Amino acid sequence: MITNPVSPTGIGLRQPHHARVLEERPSLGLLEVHSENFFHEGGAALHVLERARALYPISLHGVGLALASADAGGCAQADVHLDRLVRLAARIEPAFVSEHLCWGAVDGVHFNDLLPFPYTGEALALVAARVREVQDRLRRPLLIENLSAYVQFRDSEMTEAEFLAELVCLSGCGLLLDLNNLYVNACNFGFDPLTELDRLPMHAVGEIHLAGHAVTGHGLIDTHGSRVCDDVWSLLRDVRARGVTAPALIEWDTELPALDVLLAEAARADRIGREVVAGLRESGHVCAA
Amino acid sequence: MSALLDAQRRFAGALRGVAGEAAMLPLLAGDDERNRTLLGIYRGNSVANANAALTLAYPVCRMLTGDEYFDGLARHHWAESPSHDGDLNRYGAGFAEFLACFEPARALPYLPDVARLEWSVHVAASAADATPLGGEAFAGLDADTLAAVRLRLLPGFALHDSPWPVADIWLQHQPEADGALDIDLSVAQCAVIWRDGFRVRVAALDGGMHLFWTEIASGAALGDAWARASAHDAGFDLAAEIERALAAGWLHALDMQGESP
Repeated sequence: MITNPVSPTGIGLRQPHHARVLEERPSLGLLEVHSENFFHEGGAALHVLERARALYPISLHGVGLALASADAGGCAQADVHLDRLVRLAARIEPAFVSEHLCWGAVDGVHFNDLLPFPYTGEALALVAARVREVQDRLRRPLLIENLSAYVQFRDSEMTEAEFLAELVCLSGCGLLLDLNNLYVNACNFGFDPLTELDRLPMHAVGEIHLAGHAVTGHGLIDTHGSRVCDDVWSLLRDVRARGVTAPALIEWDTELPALDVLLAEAARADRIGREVVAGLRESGHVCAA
Repeated sequence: MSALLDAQRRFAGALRGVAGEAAMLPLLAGDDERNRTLLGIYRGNSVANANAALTLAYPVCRMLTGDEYFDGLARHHWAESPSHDGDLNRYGAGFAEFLACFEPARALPYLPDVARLEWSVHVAASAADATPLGGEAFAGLDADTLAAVRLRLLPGFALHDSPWPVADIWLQHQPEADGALDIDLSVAQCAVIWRDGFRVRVAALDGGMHLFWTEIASGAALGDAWARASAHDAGFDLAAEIERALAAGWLHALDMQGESP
């Protein structure tokens, strides 16, 4: 039997760590940045990204395309945003380009947030068309990330995972599977994350996000401000056991710790990948990937 | 109207203000009271994101007003002028105009001009990278050619004329300043902003020099800009200004007569 090795884990590259990452070149599978922070013509940040690109594969992770915005078609701004992303992707030649399953702008106002919407057939047709348009411009598949949402819509006709599975079929996009988002939603809305995982096409997973959340009186909030919790590590084992070899990535945005903490989290994700693959080989399981 | 567009308009209403929640709640699954709280979290996120963008672009204004007051300004500005762009780094271009019209901020009358300067600094920081012109570019040009030449300035170069000492205010609020504020608020200043490598620099310019560089920046020929600066200030020294510009790296290219800029 053949069991493919798991791709090495990456981290989000944030400004306070720029100098150390470039100087010490820690062993990492990839670096991820928010695309919008590099949409400029020039300057120090873009220079750092180009230097990082010479050392690591880069993942361009977008927060502003707002793919499910219903009036985006009539909005010149959305076209400008896509133009900027296309230009950045041509300049950086990233390993992955990703965006969120969300809306963000209506009637000319952009909320610069990742907002949920009802999972309906109407929304599916719109998002699929929009994803195809983005992929045609980028000339590569887009990875779409499942969202952490705090509210749910009465009119949803399917779960988010069912929506994403259809989107993969209709658009040929890949998935950025955020296990913390899945876990946060499962806790807040009271569903079993493994049932939702069963509905997602594992073959389409191109990247995995791992992050921490905050526990509040209103439920779990996806803060990207702490270590990955044990339940989310356990979800990573489940996903690896399903044969997903795509790289995991440690996302940490608020209360950013020392680089060593991120590297330790990445090493833990790598260890889990190795352990699960070794276990599968021992048990004679045939790996789906 | 499409159901999706209707849902997003209602959601937007709830994000813009508490009054919009009532129209949004019937669309949501679960308990209304809990959903009100959750919509409040989303509303807080939008304001906080806008505030973070303004804080990044206007750090000196934030120091001048104090954190709490600045947070209030950011809330008011977002209520009046929300973002229109998926790139939050572009949010806040109109903050100086907002401050100029915002009655409660009049106690700091120089604040709008400091904000104008900071926006130019913000823009310069991510302007296109370009190589400054070397002095050899002027070698061998005769007087007539020189008079007709147009100087192209480095991307990010900007000028601000203010009745307030904006350059001193900005410089003395930088991390490398010694902390002892020595600002004479009765002094009017013209400020020049430019990129020095990846660093943005700010300096004060006196009147004749400011007039000269304003003419150059608006595309005037070198001879015309010189004539106007000299009419304003009989002691204006063209050679010294060119030397200064070359040393600081303000110049990007020379456009000769007949070349389109």
